[in-house]
Amino acid sequence: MDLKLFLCQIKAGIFLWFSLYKRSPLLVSVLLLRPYLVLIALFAIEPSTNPLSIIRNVLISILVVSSIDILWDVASNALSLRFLGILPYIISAPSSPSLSLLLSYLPKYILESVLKALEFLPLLFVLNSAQSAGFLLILLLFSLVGVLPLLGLSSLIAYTVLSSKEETVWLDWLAPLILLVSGALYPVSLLPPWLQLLSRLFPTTYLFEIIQLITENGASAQTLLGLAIMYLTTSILLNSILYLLVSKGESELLRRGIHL
Amino acid sequence: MSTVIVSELRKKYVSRIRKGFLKYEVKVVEALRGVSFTARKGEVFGILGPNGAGKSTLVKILATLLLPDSGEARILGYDVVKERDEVRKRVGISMSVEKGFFYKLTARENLKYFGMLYGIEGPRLKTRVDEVLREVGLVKHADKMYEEMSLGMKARLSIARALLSDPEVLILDEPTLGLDPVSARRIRGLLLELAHKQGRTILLTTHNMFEAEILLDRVAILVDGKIIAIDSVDALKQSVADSVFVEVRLSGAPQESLKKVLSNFQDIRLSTHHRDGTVEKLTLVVPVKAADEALERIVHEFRSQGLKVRGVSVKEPTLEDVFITLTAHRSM
Repeated sequence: MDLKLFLCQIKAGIFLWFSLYKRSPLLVSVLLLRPYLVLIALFAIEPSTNPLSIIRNVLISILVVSSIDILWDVASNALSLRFLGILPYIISAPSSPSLSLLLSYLPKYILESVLKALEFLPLLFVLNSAQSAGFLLILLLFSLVGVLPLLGLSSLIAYTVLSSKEETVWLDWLAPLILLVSGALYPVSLLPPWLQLLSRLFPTTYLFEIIQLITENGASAQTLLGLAIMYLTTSILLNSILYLLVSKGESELLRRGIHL
Repeated sequence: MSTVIVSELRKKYVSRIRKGFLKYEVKVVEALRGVSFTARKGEVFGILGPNGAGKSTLVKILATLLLPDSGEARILGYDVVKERDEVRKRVGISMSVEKGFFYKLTARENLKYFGMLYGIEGPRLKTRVDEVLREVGLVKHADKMYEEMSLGMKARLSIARALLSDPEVLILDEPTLGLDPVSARRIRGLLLELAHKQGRTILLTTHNMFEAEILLDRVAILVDGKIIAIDSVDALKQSVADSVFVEVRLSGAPQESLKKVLSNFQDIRLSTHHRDGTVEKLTLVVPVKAADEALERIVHEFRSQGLKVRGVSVKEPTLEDVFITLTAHRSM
């Protein structure tokens, strides 16, 4: 892949989403409202006025929203592009179709992640003014980078949906899976044993555990390192397998033809 | 010099049609059955065919949006399967005139986005966007939102996008579909300039025979996934020189009577049938050897059914006549 073209495509995406958001203030409002709604739901489940507990819920709500978004949005972005008749022009850009498709979405994710993290800054400041900058950094890191390993899975979902004639059925079927791997059904201990085992395969599980630890006093550096290693290992393993499947999905899509 | 070389392209679609909860029927459609042709530099080459003939499949393969089962296609020497990225850098595509852009962006913003997507950036991007907007005559509407543009403007914008990377080859799927006559004429003028003055190769599909006749340098007629004729429009007209085309104008003709007369003719076939107000215009194909007595016989047969013959004349075959004659020969 040509690095100049790669950067140019990222810029194209940022320009696109920035222009679209500029004209859709309502969309931005809804986008900013969602993490707060999850936070309210978490507070309703476990009411607590302890600042650290609230900060933990802020981190969890960002992670839940980001992981659901990343899993769902690559496919829904591809479907929107198809309905608008834009997909053929994105797929026919001079780079791999998978990459072009992903890069048409990724800048949206980056813009949204920054906005979602920044909207919690006032709350973090009120809760813990001394460490608010540190927590914002963690928040940005989690929302920007933390769930990126799910891109392989979300690309596969996108190809499955695009190759299917009954795409809405696929999205319905995949919804429980998305909820499972996104961490929305956590704590993991509430899941049946086989789902608990399955959840161990997904990097997001370890991110939730890291959040639990860093918002509790007395977390050892060794445990944190262990979880970080598990996060990286599952990310690499999962995405290596998914890369092969996505390549197959890309060939299958080009064999069947891209619906216009 | 050939810029597009297509050789023995084949493509089958296999689909599963749901027949019950877990029951499927496998359906195989042979969309292309060994298609071969070449298109030259600076030529407007058209692919003409009825619905389902395989035109879109062929265009998608050449635009690198679909993989063929077998055969080979090369554009400017690059294989559309093995050297996909090289082909994409050199080809501009327009697959639809009515959609394909972001509704909430202006014409200029849309072009800017696609320009960057294709690797154009910096001052060159701005220059190129301005150039293509000027070329298609959209400078005045550059800051209009896509959703507010007329179909004619959308069609021109689609060609502007295809021109962004300054490609040597343009692949256009029905570039004037649904346009009013003025907009369609404007697009045709633009395409002729792009090919004949700027030396770009244009490969397009169309249903519009009138357009094909005045726009295309050469035509391939595609029927059931096979090319049944390929040549210039004039040469194709010559290929039906063994027939005489007779235009009959009738008024107040009931369909039943028309059908009855036509079924009485053994060696005379109906080519086209248009209604112009209350006048029915039929083009009949008569073999040259029977032409002498045919006019008299045609008038007699229609009159014997009580139909009012307003005029009979021998006419030059149009591309539509050629198309119908060739496809009819094939289906016989």
